[in-house]
Amino acid sequence: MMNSMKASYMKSKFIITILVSLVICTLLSGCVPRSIIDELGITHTIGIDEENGKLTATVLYPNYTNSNKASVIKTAADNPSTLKSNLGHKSQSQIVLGQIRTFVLGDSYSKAGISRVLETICKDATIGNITFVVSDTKAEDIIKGLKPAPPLYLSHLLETSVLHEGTPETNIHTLVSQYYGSGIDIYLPNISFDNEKQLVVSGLSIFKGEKLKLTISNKEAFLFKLMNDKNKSGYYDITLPTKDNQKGKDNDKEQKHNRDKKQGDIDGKQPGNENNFALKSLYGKHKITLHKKGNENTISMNLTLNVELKGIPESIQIEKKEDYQYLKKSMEKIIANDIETLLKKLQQNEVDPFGFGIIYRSESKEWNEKEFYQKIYPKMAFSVKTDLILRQLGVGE
Amino acid sequence: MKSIVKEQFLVSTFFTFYLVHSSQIGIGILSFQREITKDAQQDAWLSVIIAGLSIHILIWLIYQTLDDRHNDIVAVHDFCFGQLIGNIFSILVLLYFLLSAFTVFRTYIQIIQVWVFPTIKTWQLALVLGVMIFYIVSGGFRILTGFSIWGVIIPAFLLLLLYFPLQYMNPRLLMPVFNHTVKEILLSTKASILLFVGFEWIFMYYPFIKGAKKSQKWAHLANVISTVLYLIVAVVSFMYINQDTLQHATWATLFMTKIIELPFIERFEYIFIFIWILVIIPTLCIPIWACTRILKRISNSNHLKPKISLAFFIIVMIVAATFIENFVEVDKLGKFISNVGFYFLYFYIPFVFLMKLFRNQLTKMLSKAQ
Amino acid sequence: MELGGHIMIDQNTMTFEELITLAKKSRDFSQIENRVNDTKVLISYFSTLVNHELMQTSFLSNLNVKDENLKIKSLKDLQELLPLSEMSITNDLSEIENKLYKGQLIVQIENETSEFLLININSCQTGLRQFNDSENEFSVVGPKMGFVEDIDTNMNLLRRKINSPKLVIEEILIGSLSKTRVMIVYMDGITSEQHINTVRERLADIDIDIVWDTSLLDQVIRDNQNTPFPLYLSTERIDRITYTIVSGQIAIFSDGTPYAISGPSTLFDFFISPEDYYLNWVLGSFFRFIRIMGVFFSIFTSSIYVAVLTFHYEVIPKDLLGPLIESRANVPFPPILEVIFLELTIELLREAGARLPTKVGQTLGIVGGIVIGQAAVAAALTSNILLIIVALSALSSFTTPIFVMSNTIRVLRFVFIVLASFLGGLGIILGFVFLLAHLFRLKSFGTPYLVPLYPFRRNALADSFIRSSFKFINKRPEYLRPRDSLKYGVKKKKKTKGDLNDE
Repeated sequence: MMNSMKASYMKSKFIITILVSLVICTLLSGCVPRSIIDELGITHTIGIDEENGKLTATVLYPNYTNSNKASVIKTAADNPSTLKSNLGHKSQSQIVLGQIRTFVLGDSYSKAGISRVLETICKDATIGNITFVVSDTKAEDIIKGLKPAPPLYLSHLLETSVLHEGTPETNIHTLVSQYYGSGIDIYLPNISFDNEKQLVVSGLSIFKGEKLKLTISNKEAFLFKLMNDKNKSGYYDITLPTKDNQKGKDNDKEQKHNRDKKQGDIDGKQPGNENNFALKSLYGKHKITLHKKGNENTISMNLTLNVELKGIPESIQIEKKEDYQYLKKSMEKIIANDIETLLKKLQQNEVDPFGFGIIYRSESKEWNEKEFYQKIYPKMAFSVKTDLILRQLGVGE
Repeated sequence: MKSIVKEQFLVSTFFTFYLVHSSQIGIGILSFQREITKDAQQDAWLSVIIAGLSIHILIWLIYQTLDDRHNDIVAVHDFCFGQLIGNIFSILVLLYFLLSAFTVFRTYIQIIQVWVFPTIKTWQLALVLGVMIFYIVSGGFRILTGFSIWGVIIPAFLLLLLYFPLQYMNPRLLMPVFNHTVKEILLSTKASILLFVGFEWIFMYYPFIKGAKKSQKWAHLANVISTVLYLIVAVVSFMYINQDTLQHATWATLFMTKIIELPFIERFEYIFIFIWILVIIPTLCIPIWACTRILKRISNSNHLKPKISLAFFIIVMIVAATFIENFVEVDKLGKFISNVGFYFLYFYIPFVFLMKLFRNQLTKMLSKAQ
Repeated sequence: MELGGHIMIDQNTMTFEELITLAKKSRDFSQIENRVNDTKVLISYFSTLVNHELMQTSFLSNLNVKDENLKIKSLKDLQELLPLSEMSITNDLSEIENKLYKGQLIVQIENETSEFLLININSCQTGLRQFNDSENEFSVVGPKMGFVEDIDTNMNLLRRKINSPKLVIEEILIGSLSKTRVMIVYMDGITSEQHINTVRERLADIDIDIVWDTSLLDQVIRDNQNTPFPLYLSTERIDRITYTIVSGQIAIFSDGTPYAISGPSTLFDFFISPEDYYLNWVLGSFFRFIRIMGVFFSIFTSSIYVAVLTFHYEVIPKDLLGPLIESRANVPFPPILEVIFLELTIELLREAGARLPTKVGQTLGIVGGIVIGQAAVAAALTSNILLIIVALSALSSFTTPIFVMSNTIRVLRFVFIVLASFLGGLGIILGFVFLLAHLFRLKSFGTPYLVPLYPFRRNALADSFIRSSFKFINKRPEYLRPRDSLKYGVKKKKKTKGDLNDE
């Protein structure tokens, strides 16, 4: 009797298991909405502008299926979230933000304050590691200019200049830390169109709080990168001041040049500046320390850089010890001066992308952000020391 | 009234390490940074160390309370308070365990709803997870120890992943050191106790360990490793995210995984959240198993088969999960369990220890008098 | 009394006459009379079962005795007359019935009806093949011999390999209609008594009518009936079975099938190939590792494809985004239907390919594999990336050396695909958790299935994921509880070279 009872119990247990699994399968099959990849409007670039008191968004919508026929969609709204749904109204597939790589902030919008967009974007869980850039003109123009380019053109452009050409690295982590953090200001790469309507990375935009304050050039941005990032590769061009004994040599050279002139030669100088050459920075270390003496605060920056020289002027002969020393010292001095100029410029504009506030905070008992930026930062002194190690001179003599 | 377990169901002594360590590492590690930095800010790593050290004392107390004749907490309650009151205490302990499991349950569903599938309904996920818990716990204690191995291996890999945030670390964010008062550090310690909750389930699985008396050193080692792990994660978090951002980031560890860049996967945090299920399974299943076991031990009748009580507990959890709807309530739940856990650990465990000591003396005196 | 649907006449009341009457209903039963010097002998036998040549030469010819004075008074005299080895005198009717149906002769002297002489001259070799090239478990190097369908030949092959007095072969008859001879093989003094007893008990408890194959025994005696995983190793290669027997497992052979099963086995036993041992340990470990990777790839890739393309588009790396979208551009179905369609096609191809006659098989294989695949992509029914993925995962499911395991893997794939279509990545990981929980519960003859991973046994690891050199695998695995754990000793190599400066 027990056996048959047990058998029927096992049988009914089996039936119950099957029933439960069927019920669960039916319930589950509808619960998660699908986002099938080829039915989505995957975008990689979005631009935000401010127009007539409303926020506008322009979206570059690459069409993977039909040989790069990209389209640009633009809408306006009062808050960033409605922008997204308005964009959806204008496209055939659902616009999704999961694969966005670059966010372009328009010029006027940046000057007005980017906090709303930042707050919305940074809290969104579907956003990955995106790069923000500021454009010199309206973001809309940049997006429209990207239309004929391949889908990830802008993000590749930024990546290459960060890796090789001396633009400081930014990503969502740096942005969020700088935005919420006290003691450091936001800096973002700046892009614009050059004279031939070619998109170019043109320096760094620095914010104060949430508003755009200052834009520095590519050269200054490279100096900034040298003191801020680990990756220090890039080119820096240096113009040596003419040495005294060089002037005599130059006259000789010119006479020689005139004597050798034959009939029919066109008289002209070589293009460019002969004393201007490029320094390729390979790798190095930087150190920023704060010295406090009473009420005086000095920031001292030490930079050790391993460089490769590309094309030194003919007047310098590198084997001669004095020429070598002269070259090294002049380059160090020029770079140190340029950095100090940059620091003073930042100080005058009351922006702090280096994060001196954080450094000050780490060495003081109390910290008040407002007080620091009003009283202490404008009076800080800077002393920069550079040490260049000439590693290579290129193949050849 | 000790609990007798057949020889073939026992697990080796060193498994205590896996059990205790995996019970402690669970859902807390994903969001603890915000809680502990509310008071001590960048010195909160000190609070983690202090909390970890204090747990060692509690583990020692537990091992003093449990012994060969009273090898789980139901037996201890019986011995100290008699049948009726002892059963009431056991039921309170059962409710506490159920609450721990429920917190992990609801928090994980919350994480999936926020990070992965925003539109999924709570009851759907709860149902699926409930079925999974049923299948795992109904296999018995040995399966739970099998899963606790995963609960140890995967957090070790987490340490490897920390390589990526370390690229951006800024040690200055840890300074200035020690500029907080002792009171603030202690408040942060209270907040970090939630990280170490989980070792007290040894009250119920002590009889399942072979040579249980000798397993104390493994439990202490497990706690040390947990403390070290939390310490490393906390320090790296503080160096990577500054204090002000930390207050805005609810799940700081998941935020750190956003920066991970691998050549074949774009968004590592999805993979991370999915793999983390294996780590929370011990923290979810062991307390529920402990609840069914308490019920079995309290009631002597054979009608209350553990499988039925298991199904009952799971259904209770699923229904309760649907009532806790939004993010604020999940937060409140977390804070509530943190408080309850604190009181259980620091008040109840010493209380039971003292009661047992007292009762032991009483018995000795009574037997001497006879 | 009823026994498995076969009504048996109660032993005591059945007489020899009834036995003969029942046998006479078949056309192949014959009875002949012969004379040995005035004594009549009645011989009953099944003509289809006896070896006629042997009967002529050894039996009937010897009945014509030259000596006229020889009188046969009892069966013993007859027994001494004949030069045959397997003879027995008995009156136990059940034994007589058994042996008659196995091809033995029943001889009775005409005036005696209480005792019978049974002579074994059965022809068990008819219709059976003599050798087996083990094509299903092929190995490039090493011996390729496999067992055949005749159990005596199998035992011969086995004893030639394990030439030791410790090898014990126990026989048990299973199957009420087939009375198949099932052999339990183990090493006395090495295999654990507990396991031997378990096997004996379980086999003795079987109640079945015909034993077709050892896999039938496997399914009836296994610990858990509802699992897709094979719990006992099943193979037809001699070297594999001898390896398991020597390690301390118990092998079960059955008459009529070349496949033998052995247990207790673990999950890792199913990924071991004999080639691992015939190659150097570095190569062996590498290939074993590739096999395990192949299994994971096979189970998870299709489901990851479904999950990523249906739910998690954010995970796709940016360079892969273009090709993926382009390949799916014109496909009308969602990824789950696409994947199921392709997987079912491959399953159909495999099933059909297994049944095609050899001449047609090759052509149709090419047609099926290449042309259908190409055409499916061109007709935009599937995407070409998916075609590669499904084909590769189908291929890698066959990397397991044991056939039954590859079936399991194929079935598991479908489960994961369905789970992925419900809940995406969460579904896959939940399926993995279920799979783990299931594997933890499985036991093979009482030994946990996932040893040495869980419970962790360090000394058995040397031969699970990697095949360490023979120096390290000289002990038998502990989970088999062998009574003697050393297989062979490891001698230290004599140092011929001294130090750096000597040579």
